[in-house]
Formats: sequence, C-alpha cells, structure tokens
Amino acid sequence: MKPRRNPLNRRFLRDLKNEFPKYAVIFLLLVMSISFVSGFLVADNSMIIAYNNSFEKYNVEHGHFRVRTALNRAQDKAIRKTGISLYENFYTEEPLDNGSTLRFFENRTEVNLVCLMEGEFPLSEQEAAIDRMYASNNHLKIGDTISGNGHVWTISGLVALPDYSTMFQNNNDSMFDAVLFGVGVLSPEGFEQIKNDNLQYCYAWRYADEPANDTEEDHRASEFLTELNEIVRLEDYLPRYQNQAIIFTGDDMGSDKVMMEVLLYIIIVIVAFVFAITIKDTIRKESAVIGTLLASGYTTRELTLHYMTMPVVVTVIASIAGNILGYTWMKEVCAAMYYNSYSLPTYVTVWNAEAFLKTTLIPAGIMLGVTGGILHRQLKLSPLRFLRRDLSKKKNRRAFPLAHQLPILSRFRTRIILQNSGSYAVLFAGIMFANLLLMFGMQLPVLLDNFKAAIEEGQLAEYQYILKLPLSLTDESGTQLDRMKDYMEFAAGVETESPTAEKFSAYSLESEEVPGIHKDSVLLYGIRPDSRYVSLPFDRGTIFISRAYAEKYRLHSGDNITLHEAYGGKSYTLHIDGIADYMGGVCVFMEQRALNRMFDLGESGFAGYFSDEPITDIEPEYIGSVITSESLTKASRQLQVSFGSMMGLVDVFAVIIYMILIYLLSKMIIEKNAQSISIAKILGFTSGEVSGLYITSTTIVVIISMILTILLLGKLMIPLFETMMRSMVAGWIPIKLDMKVNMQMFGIGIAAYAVVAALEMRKIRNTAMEEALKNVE
Amino acid sequence: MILQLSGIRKSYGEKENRVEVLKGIDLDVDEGEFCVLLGPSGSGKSTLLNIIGGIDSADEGDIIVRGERMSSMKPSALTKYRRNHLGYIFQMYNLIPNLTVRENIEVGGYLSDHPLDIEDLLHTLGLYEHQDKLPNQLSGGQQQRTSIGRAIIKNPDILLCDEPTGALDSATSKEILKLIETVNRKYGNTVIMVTHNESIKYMADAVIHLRDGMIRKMYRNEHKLHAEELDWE
Repeated sequence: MKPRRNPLNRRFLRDLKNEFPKYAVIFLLLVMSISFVSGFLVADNSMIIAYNNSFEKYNVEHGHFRVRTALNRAQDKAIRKTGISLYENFYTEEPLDNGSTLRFFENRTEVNLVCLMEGEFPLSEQEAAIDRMYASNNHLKIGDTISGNGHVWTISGLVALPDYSTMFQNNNDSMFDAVLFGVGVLSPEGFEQIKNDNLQYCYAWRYADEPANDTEEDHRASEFLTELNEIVRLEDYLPRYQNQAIIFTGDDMGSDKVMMEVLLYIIIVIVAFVFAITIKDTIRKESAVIGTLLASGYTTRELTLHYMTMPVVVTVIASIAGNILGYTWMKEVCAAMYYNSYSLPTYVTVWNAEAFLKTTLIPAGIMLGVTGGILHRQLKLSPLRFLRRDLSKKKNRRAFPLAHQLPILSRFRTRIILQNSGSYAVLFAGIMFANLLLMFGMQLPVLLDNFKAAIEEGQLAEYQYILKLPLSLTDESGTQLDRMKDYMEFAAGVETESPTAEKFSAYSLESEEVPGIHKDSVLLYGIRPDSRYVSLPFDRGTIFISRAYAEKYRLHSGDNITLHEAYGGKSYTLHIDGIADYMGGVCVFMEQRALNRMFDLGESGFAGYFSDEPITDIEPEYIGSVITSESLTKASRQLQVSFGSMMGLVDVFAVIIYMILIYLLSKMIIEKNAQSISIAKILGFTSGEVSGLYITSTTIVVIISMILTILLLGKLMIPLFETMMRSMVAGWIPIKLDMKVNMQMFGIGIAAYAVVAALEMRKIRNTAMEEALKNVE
Repeated sequence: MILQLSGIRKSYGEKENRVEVLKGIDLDVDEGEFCVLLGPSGSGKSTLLNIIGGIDSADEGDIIVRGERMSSMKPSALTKYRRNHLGYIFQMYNLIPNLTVRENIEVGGYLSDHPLDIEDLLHTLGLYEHQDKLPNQLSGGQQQRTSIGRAIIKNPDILLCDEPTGALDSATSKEILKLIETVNRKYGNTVIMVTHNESIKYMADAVIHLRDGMIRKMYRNEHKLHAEELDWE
C-alpha cells in the first residue's frame, strides 16, 4: 500500500505564493548573511591553511637577529655549534621617490623562500620583484619602474615573503604599514649593487627540529639568546613566535573568524524570532482551522511539523544557496579583504566541513529549536480554545490603564504599541544590531580621521630626530684612540645651528605584560627644564606619563609602573606624578638630568632633537630615525586601509538588515490588525488617518529605538572599541564617538524607514473593507 | 426621502461561476424610518446593505442619498459619506480588540464634529461600569452595545445594522433591539436592519422581503410593536 501523503502539505506552495514578500526578504537576509559568513569562513580557513603550510613550504625561519657587522668566521662557527642552522638574510632599506620605503633582500634560496604570485623573479640587476600588497596599495604593476636613492628598478614580478605576511617595518611598531613600507627581492647582482646603502646584517636561524609547543619554543629562544649574547653583541633579536610580521596574520585571522560567527548567530536568532512572531500570527489567523483539524483527529505533532516546515525549509534552502555563493563569489570578496591587509601566499580553496556545519546545520538547528518550541507551546491548547479563538494564556486580559483625558488617537496608538510589544521588542533588537554594525562601519573611519588630526595638532614637535651612535662607540673592536676620535667626530656631527632645535634624552624600555593588552615599547624622554616643546612642571625626579599611556593601561597619578630592558632583563619601577596631555605615543617624561642619571647616559648626554623645522646640518649617518606626524599615525592609517573596503560593505549590510526587519515586522503588525484597519475604514476613517494610526505607532517605536540604541551603543561601543584597540595595536588610539556620525546614523535609519513606511502605507491603502465582513467566529 | 435605490444589480464570480446576487432592486427609505430587510441566507440582503454602506459597489443601478448619487462618488467621497452619514452595527460586533469599551466608542466619536456626550452614552448603553474593559472581557450583549455606542456616538443619519442579534440569545437580542429602537426614537436616525429573524419585522415601519436577489414583498406596518413585545419564536 502506498504511504498516505498528508494533504496539508499541498498548502506549502500556496502559502509561499500568498506570503511571497515575507519569505523572499527572509530568504534574502539569510542568504546574504550565510553567504558572507560561509565565504568568510572558507576563505579564512583556506588562507589559514595556506599560511600554516607556508612555514614548511617556504622554510620559514625560527627567528632572526641583527648585528652591526657581518659575523666573522669564529662567531659564525660558535653560533652554528649551538645546534642551529644559520642563514644570511641581509637587507637594505631604500627610500623611494614615491615617499615609501622598500626593504630589499637578495632572492632567498634556503630560508624564507619567496612565493611568486605573478610575473617572474628578477634576473637582471635592474629588475625587482616586490610585495604584491605593497604594489597594489601604491598602484604599481609588473613592468612599472620604481626609483630611489639613485637606483631604478623595473618590476619583474609580484611576490609574497613568508616572513613578511604583515608589513611591520619594526617589531615594536604600533601597527603594520603596507602603504609606506614594503619588501622586495633582487637578483644577486642587483643586491650587490645596493650593498653599500646601509646594509643590515640580519641572520635567520632554524632549529634542527621543530619545537613541540610554545613553551619549548620560548625556552629554546631564551637559551639561544643567552648563548648568542656570549658570542656577539646583538642589535636585534626576534624569535619567530614574537615576530609580528610573521604571527600577526595568523592571530588576526583567528579572531576575525569568531567575530563573523557571532555575527551570523545574532542574525539567525533575530530571524528565528521573526519566524516565531510570524508563526504565532499564523496560528492566531488559522485558529479556527487548527481547532477543526485537532477536533478531526490531527495530532499536535502533525500540526507542529506542518507549521514549522516552511521556516525550516526556507532556512535550509537559504543555507545551501548561501553556501554556494559563499564558496564561489563571497569567498573571493573575503579573500580580497585579507589580501588587502596581509601579504599572503597563493591559497587553494579547501572544503570546510566546519563552515558547512556552522552556516547550515546550526542555523537550521536554531530555527528548529525556536519554531518547534513556540509551536509546541502554542498548540498545547484544547481544540475548543482554538475554535473559540481563545488563545490568550491569561484569562480576561485586562487593559493597561490610560488616562481618559488623553486624545483618543494617542490612546489608540499607545494600545497598538502595547498590543505588539513582542514584535516591537524584536524590532528593537534588530535596530540595535543594525546600528551596532552601522556604528562600527561609520564611527571607525571618523574616529581614525579624528585621531590623525589630533595627533597632527598635538605632537610634541614637527620633527623628532633620534640620533644613532657610530658603530665603533658601541663595539669593543678598535683601539681606545680610535673610539676617542670617533666620539669627537660624532659630537661635532650632531651639533646643529637650527634655531628651533632642542636637545632631549631618550631611553627605550618594554612595558609589562598585561593580559588583553598589546605590549608596548615605552620611550622615556628626558626633557630640559626650560623646554619650549614639553612644558611640564618637572621637579627633581618627577615623572609624567603620556595620556595615551594612562588611558591604555588605565593608570592614574600616584600609580607605579614597572618597565623592563628589552634584552638585558633589568627592570625599573617608576612612580607616576602626573599625566602629560600627549596622545602621540606610550611614553614617559622626566627631567633630562634625572633620566641621564637613571640610565647612566652622562651629565650632558642626549639622544636627539625636537624641532619645528627640518634639521639639515646634522651628519645624515648619525640620524637613526625621524619621528613625524606620519610615523605617529601609522596605526590609524593602516586600520583605514585594512577596514576601508569592509566598512562600506558593513554599512550596506546594516541598512539592508534594518530595512528588512522593519518591513517584516510592520507588515506583520498591519496584517494582524487588518480587520481593525478595515473596520476603521468602514467607520469613515480615511486611509491617511488609518496610516496615521498604525504607521505612526511603528514610527514612534522606530524613532525611540533609534535614539535609545544609538545612546546605548555609544556607551557600549567605547569599551568595545577600547578593548579592541588595547589588544590589537601597540600605542593607543583614544575612542571618542562623533555626535555628527550619530546624527548621520539616525538620518540613514529614518531614510530607510521612510522607504518601508511608504510600502506599508500602500498596504494599508489596499486593505479591503470586506476584511471586516469575513466571518470571524 | 433619505435613500433611493433603483435597478440595483450585483453579481460575483466570472463565466460559469457567475452568481447574480441582486437582480434589480428598487427601494425608497424615508428619513427616520425603521426599515427591516428580511430574508433567508443567500437572499442578497447583506450585499444590499454593503452597497448602501458604500463598502461594496453595484454593477448596475443608482443609489441616491440625500439627493447625491453614490455611483459618481470617488473613494474619498465615499469615505466622507460613511463618515458623515452612516453608523454600522455588525453581527459579530467588529470591535477593535485592543481598545477598551470607552475607546471603541470614542473612535466613532472622533469622526463627528458634534459627537454625543460619551459619559451620557455609556450610561444609556449600560456600559459605564465596563468602560475600561477590553472586548474580550465582555459578554456578547455588552459587545453589541459597545458596537451600537460606536455607531451612534456620531449621531449618524442612517444606522445600518447587519444581523445585530444574530449571535445573541433571545433576552439579550430583545435588549439590543430595544436599544436600537430607543436610539431611533430619541435621535431620529433612519435604521436599516438586515435580519433573517421574522419576529423583528413587527417592530419595523417598513418591511422588505428578499429572496434570490429580488424583492418579493414590501409593506408598511400599521401598528408597530415595541421590542419587548416581540414574540421570540
């Protein structure tokens, strides 16, 4: 015997046809969210796999160190004897005519092998293969020429260097910078030509075997550092697990993934609640039908299954469609977002069971749970209750008291709001979520712009020149006489006639490890008491920290801070006497003599100059670095590049979510009240007046929700952004939300709502008066 | 004469499914008259009432209300017509479920420049004690009284009643009819009532019997009965 098919199933297609707009927008919302998250997870996972594989595939270093001069044969031998493989990884930094800096290596053959993404490796002296992302950010392509420092190179290829997946010029930089900093490789002949341009003696090492875990890697790195210190004087020492240029990408991709998943589940839960309200509405509408079916012998289970089929089917189909889009189009969009921030090697799309589970099974599960739960509760009533349309849990529900003196239309609107409080609660949650996205998308760029402007306005001086001691003065090699001579030359070479120049001392220490806070390199300034650049009430030994330092580490006047030498292990505990109003960096200010004494820098020692004009009479070889507003705003610049492409997408997505939710819920409210609307029309209310009642109620709720959520999110976003900034970047970007942006958000929300309200007004206009004449027994 | 109907025809459906519900109705109603349209289910009486009420339109024929031709009215003019001249009472009350008794009546009052006093009306309707209740807290009779209140607060020229006692027991039905009768007498509104209950014809000034979309019989009562005198069999 053929199994009997439930005749109720024939309603599905009819239901779909009748409720097409509702299912279409829910489907659209789900497909959009699922495809975005699925595409993101697939791209993220595939790229993480490519990134992780790159360590082995491209034989990435376990660390590197830098010394002043090339290792001599004895040092080389002694180092290799510790059991590591050692590789030369020399480089020079070439300032280019376009204002950026390229770090050039000789093309590698043993360690940190280069991934060629497009074109060819350089073959001749005048060819260079440069980082793909740097090229893209500077609008360079294969065949273009780049020039600087008297050299001209033709770009032969675009590459990714596995030890520079993130463009950190220095490991202590507050942020990477793929606009003004890049890397590239030259042919051996090409590299030979630039060897005299301030060659950096960098050596990469690899252990004989891979460390089993982080603890072992840490242990090995410490041991190796001790051994190295006995052999050679180090300029820089950076094990891989601390190298931001290598590890930042992996850490960031991992945290993005969690954020995206949370985003998806919030949307799914909101959609589930939309379905829940829809189902309750359907049960109310079909009360008599349900009562009849139950009375005829249909079981609660059969009806539960019947009514939950459409939401679950819509979710499953949306999940499948979303996954297809995710694997094809969205994956490329998301991968492009990563390629915009990170210089990753070529990736291969890898089937991701986790993404499928998280974007298909879990949403379907949430939908099953919520709709099943609601239906189970609703359908527990007796058939008679359904037949009598008596679905209220509370018998004789009382009216909320409203003053009779209030105009009747105000009371009417208030009653509509009270009657639909469940729908409006979901609408509030939806507006909150959409505004969260919108706030993120709109406030972050403004915040970064404001920060940039504030830094440019509040910097200590237009230029800070940090001096560099000549090699012979820090090296033990050479005779006493040579060193004396070099010192005299240095002392004469760093004096300036510039009228705006002012000497300061400086010393760099590492901040303490604080969970959840990105570690900083803290610059301690020694300031002259009569300084024209830093006016602080210095007394003997008084210490001020910058406001950026205080805000990032939540420090106050009277607290103590402990700072550490980067490699020496020595610690210093300082008592904070005050906060200096300076946001340009995490730094400490004290009187120059006090700083010189503390770090034994000599009575008249100094490390550099503040100046409002460029200093041109210092020997260039003694200038270590120049701090300008450009270097101080590196973090905000890179965040703008990294998030720039995503922000527009987030804004559009937020507005769509916002419009869809308002459309769905206000549509439902109008449908629920179709009979009352129809009665009002029969009584003689015009369509405009009826719209005034029903649309105005929703308008009031939307406006209140907009204002409340913007205010609430303003309060929530500051700690959220602060936590993000604390953990993501070295340095500090203060979080101040722009009221103007809040107003713009409100404007966007109202404009989006106006479109929906116009549609709903049409719906009210089209509500037939016959609706009231239908038998509602 | 407040209302004149001539040659009203109405059909629903298309081709082979076409059903002619009204087959040429001619009817005159005087001002202040209590008129009962009587007939079995499917006779077309409710359709006729809806056409008079401007919520449905005739395929053919003319309706003239106070000298104004309804067929020439645009939707906005029809709304104005309902607003200024009509009060509606339905079998199933059709109260707005989330408004209280008082608010349901006040919604009717909002449409008039000179509404009746709400407090007086609540007392007249016997609803004063229940004014802050929602419709679901009321009995059928109380709901219908609220519906009457909503219809008469604007003191309309014509009160259209579609089976106002159809869902009520006999005692409550008499109570409702008494109320409508009182309203008719007190305010002089024209009442057009659709019913299938033969007993009600005795309280009408004019009785129109409809069957299969046509007027079968039409007469005036020389001696009307009061609502409480009706024999409810």
